[in-house]
Amino acid sequence: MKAAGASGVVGLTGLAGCIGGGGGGGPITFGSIHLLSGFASVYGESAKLGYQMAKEEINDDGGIDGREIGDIIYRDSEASPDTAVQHARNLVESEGVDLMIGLDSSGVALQVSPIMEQLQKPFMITHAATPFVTNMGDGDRAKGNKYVFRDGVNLAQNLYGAAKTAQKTNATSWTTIGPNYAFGTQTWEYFKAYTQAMDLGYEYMENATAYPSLGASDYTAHINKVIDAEPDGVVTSLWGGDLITFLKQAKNTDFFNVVDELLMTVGAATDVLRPMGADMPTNLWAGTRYWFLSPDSDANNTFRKNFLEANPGRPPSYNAQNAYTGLYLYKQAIESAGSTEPDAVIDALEGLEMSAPVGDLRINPDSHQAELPAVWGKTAHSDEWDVAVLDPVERIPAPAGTLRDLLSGSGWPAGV
Amino acid sequence: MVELPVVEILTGLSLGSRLFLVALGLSLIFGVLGVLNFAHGALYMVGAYVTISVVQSVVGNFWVAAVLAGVGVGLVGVAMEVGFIRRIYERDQLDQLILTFAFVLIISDLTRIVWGSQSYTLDPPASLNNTVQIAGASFLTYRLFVIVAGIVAMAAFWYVLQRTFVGSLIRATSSDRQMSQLLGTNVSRLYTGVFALGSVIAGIGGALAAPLQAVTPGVGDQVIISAFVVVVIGGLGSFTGAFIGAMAIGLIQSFGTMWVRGADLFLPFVAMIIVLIFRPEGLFGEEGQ
Repeated sequence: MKAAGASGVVGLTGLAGCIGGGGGGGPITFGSIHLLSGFASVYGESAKLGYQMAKEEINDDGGIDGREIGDIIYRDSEASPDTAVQHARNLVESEGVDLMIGLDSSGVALQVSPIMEQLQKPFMITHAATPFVTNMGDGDRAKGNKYVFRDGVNLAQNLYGAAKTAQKTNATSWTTIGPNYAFGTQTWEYFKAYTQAMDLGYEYMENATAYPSLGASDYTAHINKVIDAEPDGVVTSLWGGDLITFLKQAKNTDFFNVVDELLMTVGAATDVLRPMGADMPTNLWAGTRYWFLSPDSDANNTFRKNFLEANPGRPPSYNAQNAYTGLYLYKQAIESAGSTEPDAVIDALEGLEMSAPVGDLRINPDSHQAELPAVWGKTAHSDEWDVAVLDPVERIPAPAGTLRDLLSGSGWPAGV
Repeated sequence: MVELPVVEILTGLSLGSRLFLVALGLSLIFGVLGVLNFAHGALYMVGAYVTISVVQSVVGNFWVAAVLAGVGVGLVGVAMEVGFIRRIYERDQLDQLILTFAFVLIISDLTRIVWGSQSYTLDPPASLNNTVQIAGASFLTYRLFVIVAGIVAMAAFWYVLQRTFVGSLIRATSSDRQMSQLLGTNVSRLYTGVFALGSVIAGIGGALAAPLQAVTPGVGDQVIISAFVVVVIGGLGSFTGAFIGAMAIGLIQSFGTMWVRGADLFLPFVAMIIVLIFRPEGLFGEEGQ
């Protein structure tokens, strides 16, 4: 994976090489917190595959500044903020890891983020999408701090893509069905905030919003509620097994007869598409934080090829890519800083640019959020892949300035 | 909107029926053995996974798969009872909870080793994989079948318990274990049999649920909590109670969701609290115990 490091930080590679050659030191260790059990453990599993691949590549290629990547110590968040906070403390204070990475749930990220300020260790969030943790302003919705970074598309970027996608449709009355926690409600709030700011003149059917509990086994009652309101369009933030259950159950009701447009904000997740196989409904709008067939770049094509070789039949998911890219970002930052010392790594991460599989990204120094486009497309059958694909697929640019402008006045931070 | 209640009622009954198929075995095992089996949800999960594996194997038949799921999980139940649970009948209920909770963790991890973390999906059997129009709304035929399956299970249990010799042995042992033993009942074997039967039902419950949802490592987690609520509302150990409780919860979830956010999660608990306050033994509490 030469391409990943290729764009580099403006000519610092040579300097870093000098320091690395002289210094060395022991292996660099990482603490990684993910969902490793329960209904969504496939997300943690995918992340592990990404870390493993990056670690092997980096170590085969001489390590980071001459130092090997040592242990990546995994801990199971169990989707519980308290558990994750305990793990974070333990990994830093007892295990003495150099750097932290991971997190799958927004609820967990909101609690872990402030703790990192106490622990004074950088944390690269790879999956949890709440914009609050990359918002360093004031107030309840500002949970970011100098230690917390994110290399994946956040909810505000993703929902900007949803709003631009909605704009292409003829749907004018909208509602939502999403998990009954921050991620589900924030998805709806950001969708409304963007589409209002864009003056799309939508009717928002608040009485039809449906929030089933996370990991529920039956959504039929919630599907009935949406059908009853007859909205033109529905935006859904259901994810993982929940999205599969919802689609299976919605297919056998009048949902798709009544609703013209379904926007699945994280529907193009390969961990969802694989089990759905040929059952995945086509012609639905789906977003994702990373799409394995886009962009058509050296970095992405090489990553996809290598990942599929290591994991046959398993196209890389966004969690795998984000984990993989996270380690490479740390590598680049450490090499440019010449150390794993937190402040030096943080300085190096701010403004860092990288040609990652997900695309050319830059870590915004003000928010610590990776600037990335929102990827949206329409689900379609594919002869080449065992999973449904996005065709067409669009990379919707989501510049920080645009997002902040559109959301200003809504009270919802862009976190970019 | 005359048609609306019909949709809600059928949805509620199908939710209730799914719940009943979990609560039934839980209630049976508690009613007779006095053991609150936390691992019941894990057994249900194994039933779902076995079904998917069998359908995807050369067998390829859902009904065969459901039977095998029941038998397979029943055997797991026998191993659990004979190997472990029978040793703690005389112990504190807390010990029983800890032991069965240990089984939750063990079975969950073993399941993950065998089937991995990913989600699986399964189509309903072809003959039931179509929709019918009722009151102007589409229903999956398989979903209606599950309602019928719940009612049939209830009827079969009522018949066995009230009208057969084995049933009277079970009832006798459940009300007075020592007396039953003195009168010559092989209580030990009866307990193994009842635990196995409860497990078989859990396995079949999982099998019947598999075509309706994503099968993930967490399938048993949520269902066991709902099943506990159902059993508490109905009265621990009462099958009629479990049936009425399950259907009531299904209907509460179905109608409640239309008006209250989070109704699917909290209304069942509200119902449970009300029952516990005004009728702590549950709606049909004395009957089974």
